[in-house]
Amino acid sequence: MQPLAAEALHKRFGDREVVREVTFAIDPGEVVALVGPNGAGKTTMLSMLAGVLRPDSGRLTVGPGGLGWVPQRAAVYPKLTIRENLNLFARMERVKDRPQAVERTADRVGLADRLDDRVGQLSGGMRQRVSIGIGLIAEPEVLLLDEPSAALDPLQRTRLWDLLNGLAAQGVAIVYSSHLEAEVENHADRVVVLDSGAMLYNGPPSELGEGDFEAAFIEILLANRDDAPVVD
Amino acid sequence: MPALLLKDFQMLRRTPSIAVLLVVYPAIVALLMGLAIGRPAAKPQIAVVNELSAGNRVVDLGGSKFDMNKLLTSLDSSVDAKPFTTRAQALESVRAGDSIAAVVIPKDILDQLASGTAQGSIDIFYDASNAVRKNLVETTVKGVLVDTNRSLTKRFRDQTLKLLQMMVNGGEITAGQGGRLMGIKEGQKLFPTLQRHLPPNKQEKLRDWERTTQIMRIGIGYSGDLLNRVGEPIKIRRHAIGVSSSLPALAISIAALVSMMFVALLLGAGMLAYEQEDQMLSRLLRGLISEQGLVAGKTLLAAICAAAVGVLMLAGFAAFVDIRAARIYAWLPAVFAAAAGLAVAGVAIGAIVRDVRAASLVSFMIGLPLAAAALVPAESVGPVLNAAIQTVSAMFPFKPGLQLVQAGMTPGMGFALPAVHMTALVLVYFSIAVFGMKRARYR
Repeated sequence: MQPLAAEALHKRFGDREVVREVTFAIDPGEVVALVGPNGAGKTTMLSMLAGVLRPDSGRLTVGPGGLGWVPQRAAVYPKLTIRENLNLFARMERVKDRPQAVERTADRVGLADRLDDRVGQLSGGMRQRVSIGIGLIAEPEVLLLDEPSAALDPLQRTRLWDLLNGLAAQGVAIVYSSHLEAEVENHADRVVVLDSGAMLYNGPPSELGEGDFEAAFIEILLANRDDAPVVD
Repeated sequence: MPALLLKDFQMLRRTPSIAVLLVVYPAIVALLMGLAIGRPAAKPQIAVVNELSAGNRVVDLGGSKFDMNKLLTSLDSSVDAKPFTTRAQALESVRAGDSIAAVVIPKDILDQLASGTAQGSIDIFYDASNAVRKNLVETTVKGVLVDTNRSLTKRFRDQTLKLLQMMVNGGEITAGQGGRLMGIKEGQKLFPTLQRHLPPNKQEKLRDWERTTQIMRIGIGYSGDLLNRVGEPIKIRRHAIGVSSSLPALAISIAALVSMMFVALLLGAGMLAYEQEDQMLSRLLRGLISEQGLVAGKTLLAAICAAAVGVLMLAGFAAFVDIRAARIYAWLPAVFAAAAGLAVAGVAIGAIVRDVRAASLVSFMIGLPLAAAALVPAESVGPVLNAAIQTVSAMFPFKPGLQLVQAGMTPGMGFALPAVHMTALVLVYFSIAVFGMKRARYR
């Protein structure tokens, strides 16, 4: 059984269709990038996969391992320590043997030696690690991340991807949204291109089109639009 | 919910400003209010110039003596009367702000009172530029003069009655040249003798005079009651209806409720708005907790803290006034009910406003005027404005909360109506908060 499968997911806010009949599935250990211009429906799609939003129609199948969710901003409690943050969500996720789960998760995200530090005293990159740790506390099969590297500098971004690739190597499927072509090209096994809520492409980044990734990405977007400029 | 509640308490513990708000603030307010309510009011200083010489302070009101020292004693019991020798010194004390007023008892007051025709007067000087002081002076001095005037009125009335009785019964006059006065009664005894000696054409005049003296006797007979009525035309008979409420109970209920309101509103609004910052809500509402659970948790947190503040304040008041500790079974649940109502209102604000700073500001802007409106006496405004004030304050939990706490402290005061009112408000604000959470989820 695949850890996550979306079938014809559809969502509208008022008159506006935000996600239109999107279907895709993920394999264990696979890294999938959701890409698209602003307003394409990436965050809404991830929110539906995470269970934050209910789809209007379609079916979502989640494997027994469950999902971990990492919102765009590092959603952590700065006044609590890393241990207290992880412990809180371990309790809410009803994780068995919480102290060990907290230690294990901190080790996975490289914060084992900072467990008793207040989160408010940590750097942005470290806060993002805590946020990922919260997403991983119940040891899910799939980790969903909304633009995980948006607020990080290049060095922190490299460290983040070392962590995420390590998780994928351990069998955790990763689904993330991003604006950064290099991040998609270098780390994603598969790309799902969304525009105006519709899925335009679902496959390996190398097969997206001719030329470099960015050019191929723009080409596929323009091909889908009625107002695209005509090029001789 | 327990995990989230525990987390909230942990966070509060690590925020020193909140600890100050929850512990130090109510303690200071309770201390100040307790001192203000529990101790007798300080006597304002009044400069007194008594121009009467020490041996000349008693006035003879037709045989009855009145000692002007009684005026000074009466003044001294209400204010701190500081004696001055001259008017200039007394006025300087008022100008310097040491005394709120100067009272001058002029040397001719005894002659004025003794004359029986002129009205006695005393002079009062005060700083009219300060409206509060002016009002205090007028109230204080009026109160003192009421006692003295009443005492003098009784003496004048007694003296007048004595003279009237003498006109009926006769007696010895001491005033003027003195001498014996034949009363109407004795004069009437002469009518039969006079009738025998008068010619027939004068008999009719004598009968007229006899009837007149008869009417005079009856009239003077009523004069005692009449003079009593002139001295006090309207006598007040007090009949208390309903349960008697004490001023300290009302004052400490207000003080406790105002503090509880700010704690409940700020914590309720702030803690829920805080969860909505940095997308924390998207973590929590993906199945870890429901909107209802989140609202209930934050309400419980704010209510516990507000009730703790209320109980702390009442404990502080207990050192100064009787808080009816024996009725703890009544006022403790009332404090918790009031705290819960105010807390859920705060949570509703936090759910709608979403930003911590804005939620705090909105809490102040809503809480303060609505609490003030709930304290406006219905009699002090017109019927239309009163209806508007009553409607607005009924939509906020401060008023039923105040009524509940006051009822808890006052034996016989009903709980039912404010309890039903509060329950309705709790349900409405809870629904608003849940609606706000659902909207935030789809933001």
